[in-house]
Amino acid sequence: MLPLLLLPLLLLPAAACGDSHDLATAGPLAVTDAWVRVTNATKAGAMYMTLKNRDTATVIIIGAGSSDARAAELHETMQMENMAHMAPIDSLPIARGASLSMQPGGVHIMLVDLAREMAPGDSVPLVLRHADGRATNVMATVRADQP
Amino acid sequence: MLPACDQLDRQFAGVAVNPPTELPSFSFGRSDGSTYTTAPEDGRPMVVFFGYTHCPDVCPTTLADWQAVKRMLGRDGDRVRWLFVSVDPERDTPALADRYAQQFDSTFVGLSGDSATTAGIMSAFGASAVRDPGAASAVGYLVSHSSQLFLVDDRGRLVALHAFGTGREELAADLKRLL
Repeated sequence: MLPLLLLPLLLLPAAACGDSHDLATAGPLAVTDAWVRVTNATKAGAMYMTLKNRDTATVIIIGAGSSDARAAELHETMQMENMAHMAPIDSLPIARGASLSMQPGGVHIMLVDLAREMAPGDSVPLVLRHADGRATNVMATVRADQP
Repeated sequence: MLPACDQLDRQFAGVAVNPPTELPSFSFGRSDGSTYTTAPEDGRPMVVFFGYTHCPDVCPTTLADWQAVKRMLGRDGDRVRWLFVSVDPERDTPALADRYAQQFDSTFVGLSGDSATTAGIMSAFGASAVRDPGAASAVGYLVSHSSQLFLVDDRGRLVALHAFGTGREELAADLKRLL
């Protein structure tokens, strides 16, 4: 007979999985290469990362927030006739199995009113909000230049 | 025998301005009370970018490219005049523009003039900027702006353009040609 003492241990993984959607390591989105450019002397900065949807359905990102910035906005830079246009993104769908690579000059997360000066190697937290109420936590590294 | 000018122009990695455009000089007040003039300096080509300090993506990406290109040029990089000119003088003070540029390299110059100077230099270079009324942001407003680099030789002539995203090696090669 299985000792009763082991029962909680057997249940633990199931409980953890049920509550793990906010962990980048186990949630619907795998986050890699998250970084922020050193952005002192300015009110705005940008965060970049690669997201892979490992869920069973499309994941739609509808917003972001960071404790290190007054606001975090989803934006896309577009080049038209040698002009850079930056447009807010209301929702960012990532199809099942697909990846989204945020890169300088493209999709990025604009950080507004940074709370502190940043140096290479610092960490900046971010939460990506999903349309279905879930969230993905991200920890980005401050860098002087793109990886 | 010297090659013809148009043959030289075609050797740019970026887009050659042919014939090169003579540029007027502009003066900007700086936060330390000095004046910076864009008048030509012998042996010192200029690379000019028009941006704004609330720009989180294209502007810092460009200045980070400059930082890398300056390293590639070694000591010659100190002879290049690296100018970041604000298209948003309403929010960018001369001090803010300068600090923004110098966070990438202490020799980079950030300039922000009055509205007439800003309009004048943008017109001379063929640069554009417009506020995006529909792009709401917590920073207040966003600005669409020219994203290419303007390369000016040491005679004050606009000689080449580099579209955003042109490689660092190409910029280094073109600046070497102008040094």
